[in-house]
Amino acid sequence: MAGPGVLLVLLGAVVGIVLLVLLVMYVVVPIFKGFGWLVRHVFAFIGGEIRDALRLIGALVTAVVFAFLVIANVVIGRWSAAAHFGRAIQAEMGAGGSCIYRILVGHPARFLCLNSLVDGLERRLPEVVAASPTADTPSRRTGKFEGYVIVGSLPGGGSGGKLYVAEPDEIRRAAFARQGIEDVDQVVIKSFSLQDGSSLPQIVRESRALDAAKKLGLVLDHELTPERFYYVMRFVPGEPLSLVTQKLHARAPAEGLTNAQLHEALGYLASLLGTLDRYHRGGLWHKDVKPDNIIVHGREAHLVDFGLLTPIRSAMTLTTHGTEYFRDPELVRMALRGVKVHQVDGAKFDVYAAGAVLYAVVENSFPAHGALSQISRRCPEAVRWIVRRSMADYDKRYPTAAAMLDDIRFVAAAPDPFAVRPADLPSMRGVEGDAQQAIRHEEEELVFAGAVAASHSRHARPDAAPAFTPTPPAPPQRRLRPRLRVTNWWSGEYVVSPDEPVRAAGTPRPRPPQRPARPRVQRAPAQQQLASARARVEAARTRAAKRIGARPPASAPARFNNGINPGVAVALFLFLAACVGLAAIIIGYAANKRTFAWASGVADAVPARFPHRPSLRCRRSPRLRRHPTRVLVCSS
Amino acid sequence: MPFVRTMSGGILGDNRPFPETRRAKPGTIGRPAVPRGVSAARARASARSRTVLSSMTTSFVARLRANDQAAWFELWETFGPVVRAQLARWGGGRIGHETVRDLSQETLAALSDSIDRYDPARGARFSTWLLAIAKHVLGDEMDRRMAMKRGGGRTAASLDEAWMAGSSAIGADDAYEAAVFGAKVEAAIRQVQKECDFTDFSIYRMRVLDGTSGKDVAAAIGVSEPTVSRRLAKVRDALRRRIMEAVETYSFTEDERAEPRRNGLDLDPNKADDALFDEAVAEIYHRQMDLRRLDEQAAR
Repeated sequence: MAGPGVLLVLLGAVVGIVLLVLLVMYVVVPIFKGFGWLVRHVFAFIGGEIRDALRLIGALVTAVVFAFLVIANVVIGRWSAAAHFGRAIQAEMGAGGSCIYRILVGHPARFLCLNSLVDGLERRLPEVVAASPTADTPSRRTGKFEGYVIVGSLPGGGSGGKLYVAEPDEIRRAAFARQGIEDVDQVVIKSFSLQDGSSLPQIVRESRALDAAKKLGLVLDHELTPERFYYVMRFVPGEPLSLVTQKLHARAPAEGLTNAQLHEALGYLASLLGTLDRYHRGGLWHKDVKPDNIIVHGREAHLVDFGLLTPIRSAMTLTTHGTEYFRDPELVRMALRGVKVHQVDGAKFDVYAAGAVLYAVVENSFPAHGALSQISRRCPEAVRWIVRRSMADYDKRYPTAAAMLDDIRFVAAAPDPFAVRPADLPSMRGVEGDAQQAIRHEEEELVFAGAVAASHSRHARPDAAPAFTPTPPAPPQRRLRPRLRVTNWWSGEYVVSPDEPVRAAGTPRPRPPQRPARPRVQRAPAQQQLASARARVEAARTRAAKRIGARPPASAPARFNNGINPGVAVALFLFLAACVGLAAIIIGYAANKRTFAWASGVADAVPARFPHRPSLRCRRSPRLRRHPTRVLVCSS
Repeated sequence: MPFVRTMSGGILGDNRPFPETRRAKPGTIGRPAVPRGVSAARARASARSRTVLSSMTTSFVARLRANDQAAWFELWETFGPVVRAQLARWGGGRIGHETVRDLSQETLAALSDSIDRYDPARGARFSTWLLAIAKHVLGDEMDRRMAMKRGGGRTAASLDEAWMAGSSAIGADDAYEAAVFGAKVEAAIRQVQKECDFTDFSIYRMRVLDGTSGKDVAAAIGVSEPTVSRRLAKVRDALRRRIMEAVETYSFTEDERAEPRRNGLDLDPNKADDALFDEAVAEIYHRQMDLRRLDEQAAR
């Protein structure tokens, strides 16, 4: 009979032990952990306060010592040393200010777990201050820019130059119009001055690709003097792609961009790749493609900052300039080996950077792992493929920006980008997209034009007999050769295109028909030439004005806004409100003080010739309350 | 900032000298010290069984000694994030990210400079060596900042040889050792990515690293599933070889060379369980991704 009782007791004991263990695990341990966290938190606060207080005292003492050193150096005439110690005082003051902030705001906020509250002050404020533009006008040492009126400045970036926004005057605009550059409303002037701290290597680097950049229309004007160097570019309004990407992801759900946002992002990349393709065909590679150097305006993305623009055929040695995460590691390896620029295809490094930009836009972070970087956000498989292919090994990535552009356009044009397989991309099917076909046609036209120009005679006389041209031998019977186009690189399937005639080896290319020679033109007198040039300029201005007038008013280009922006307006409003409030407080206090003095007695107002007059208390006579004038009855 | 080393050994843009290193005693490298009373042959045999620099390590060391910039960059690419993470952890928020990057460059440059002082007889691991140099560089930086000499009045100490006795004295924890091993595997993956065909590696990446099913990979690439398996095996074999090479190159002790087996990466193709191998590679890859992501966030 005792058996069931013992069993119950045992069972109860087991259950009790289990409950006790659970209680310890889920209640007691967390309580102790919380207590431990609290103790650590309090000690961290106290330790931080003491540490910063000691640092503040140390900074003050050190600043005083530096002050003596400054005075001593000034007395003995060592101005540079005095300036050096003066800068040290500034640094100590800065450190002291930081300590005061931490003692009064930082540590208490963190103690109360209000970290987010101070995040703006500690992180965002220094970032914005550091990125603030320089002075709106160039210094007196730098001098003015002839033909341009400065309207503002932009943050300089890391190249050592200063950026100003300017408006060209009429003469400059006419000069641009003569060069075929129309609608130049505002420009950006990038200036390097030895007086302002720029160095010769910076100037040399920036000026390297200037001629090629001018031919592509990227640089409108430039000037090089013994003291300074500047060049002028068209001002592109808009926001950097880095900021646009942050805004996109701020509006997007947690898993990633929506279909519409992906489409927008692919549009920006297509615009970027079109620009890069144009540069590469013009013989340049940008070398610093990154989201901060891409300005988005409307649906277009414009590449700016030509500081590292390099001719593809340059004989210089490769350098490691660029921005980490967007710079191909292979470029660094080649530069360390001393490879020359013309020995590699620089365009491929721009393709790598474009892939890194696409990664940054989709993932909202930098490709920290290079080509192995993983996309964790919502992204079509085809876009992942494009990113990987563009950031693949040098020999395996897209051969040109146009090839990558074709794939981007294919995905962007698909009704559902998530339904596009990597196998469907033009690069995988071995098909030339529109961009590559356009290049091929352009190259063929250039070859034909080159052949025409080579056979054209410039200075033939009108009465001279036509130049002797040897009759080409009769072409042999044309042999036809089928043209094969591979449709599947993996299985080797191909289709046969219609036959095209080919030349047999050794036969000369058929000559295009000769144009008649131009008759020699008799030059007009100089005065007449000047008058006709002025008339042409005037006509060009009139045409430009008509075009501007004919344009719908809604499409007026955005201008650089250096005036009052909302932030400035808010700051001014708050300042005025504070001034008004302070004034009201002062006036109110003064008025109250006067009333108080008048109501409580005139002891303070008693003249000095009655020093011993007892203090009086005055009141209104109750008998004379109905009297219109107040009568004070005073008694001691 | 470009990190091209100048002829004097400093880093471009940074004129601070490297930590002072003492020249090794002649005959130290590759030859253990022979205690008295022990025959030379027996000493050589015991040393061989303990620690022998492999031929790959020796050739890598030779490249570093010859100031091969590519070898230095390889070190930077492979172990830079590991060193930065460790320096940032030690710094405790007192040093900014730019300083951490500078210090990591100094650490790797000092590593290549102090190669002559390595004594394999002491049994020190490569990871310990790296950690000791990083600690010394950080200490030098903190001393410079506090504007006081270490040891109260004495000149700044040179790299102490005490770390060669064992890794526990330096404070190399499991997380650090795992990060160093992960960096070696990552270097192998990068090497395989370079040498393999793009589509083959993409198949491996989608199947193993991204966890996509074989059927989906085949559909995406436009090939059959057996083709996917065949190409996967090809890349896997290449990866095994490269992991073995990377571990051989960056390992000084037998214990380090045995790390792949301890981490589920059996490099013997006859005994390998391919699924286990792939799973281990994927886990290491994702761990390295997290490390790099933290490094990139700190940079921003």
